[in-house]
Amino acid sequence: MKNNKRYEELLFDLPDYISGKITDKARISEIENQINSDAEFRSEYENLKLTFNTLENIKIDEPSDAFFNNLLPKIHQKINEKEIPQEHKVSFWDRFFPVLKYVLPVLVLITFLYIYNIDNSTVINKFDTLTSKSNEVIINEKNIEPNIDSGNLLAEQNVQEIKNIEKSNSKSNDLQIMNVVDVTQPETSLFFNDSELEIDDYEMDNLSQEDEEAILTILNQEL
Amino acid sequence: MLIDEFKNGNINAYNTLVRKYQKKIYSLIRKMVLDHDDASDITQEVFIKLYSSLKDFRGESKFFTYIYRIAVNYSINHLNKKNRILSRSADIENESYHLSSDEAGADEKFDSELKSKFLDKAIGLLPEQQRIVFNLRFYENLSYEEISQITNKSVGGMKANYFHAVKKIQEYFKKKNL
Repeated sequence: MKNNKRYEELLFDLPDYISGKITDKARISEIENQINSDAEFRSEYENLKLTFNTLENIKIDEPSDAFFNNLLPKIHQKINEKEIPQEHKVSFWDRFFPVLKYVLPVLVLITFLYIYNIDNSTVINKFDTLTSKSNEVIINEKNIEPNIDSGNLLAEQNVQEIKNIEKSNSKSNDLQIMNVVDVTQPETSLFFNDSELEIDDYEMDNLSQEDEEAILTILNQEL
Repeated sequence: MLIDEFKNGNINAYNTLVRKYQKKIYSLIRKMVLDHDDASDITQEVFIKLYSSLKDFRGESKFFTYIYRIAVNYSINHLNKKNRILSRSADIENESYHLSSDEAGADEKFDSELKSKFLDKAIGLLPEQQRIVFNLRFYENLSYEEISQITNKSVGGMKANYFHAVKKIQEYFKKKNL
């Protein structure tokens, strides 16, 4: 086995030996010994040598210099052709976006200024005008002191008091001034004196029927 | 240096690389695909590929190993696509070489062209791996280690491939009386 493997290794070295590519002197000596001592190995050597002689004598056709001179421009042309279609693939949005990214902040700022206008007279809460039901909450007006801070306009609003009101019959869609009824003054105060009003809820709930009739009689008389 | 310059945007560095390697790359591809027009197209594709991939080249291997690997792979892909084994017409197959003493001197050019065609034929008959190793070893004079890096195969296998490739060419030449 070792001899066969060794023989095969020497055989595989023959092409490089013939071409002069083997530089190891020990290897060269070993190959030459095998050539001199082994007829079969020598036959392989001679056949391969003829083949290499033929190969080296065959002229390889090469293109003219003009071919190679034109190669680089052709390469660049193909590179450019591969890049150009990508430009055509730019969508409308991709073209529009560069403009939009500058225009959009300006539009936002203008919209912001419109909603929060810098008029010094009043500040109107737009959302209140949209409701049209009873028990609207009205924010009493105060003078607005605009506070300009870094280009942004802020409106300071003082809310004096918020009260529950009865809706007026006004049909205006603007801010409606409702009649404010002081809920702390019930109608009963018009008919009873202070001492009589000092009846707590418990006592009110536990009045006898005679007391209730007396109260009603007094109320009818007053009316 | 040229590669670093190209990475920094110097297109002239790329042009220099093309001019430096175009003949070798064309020659290698030409012996693989055995057709000038195909070799021309593939050569251009190799350098176009180089243009886009060179920025990722980390220098872990030699540059010529890198570009030769691209050329070999593109050639193999082309051959697989074309499903070629032989590249020449039947007249070459049926023809054998007869050189008489009267003809040799008078028609050397024809003889040379015929031998060249026979050689193309012989190389075209080689299995893919043997064809690659033969071209890189005999014509490009690369070491087995370098061929191993290009083909990503073992060094020991390269030597065997080379021997068997030469033996097959020898048998073809003998058959054609070359």
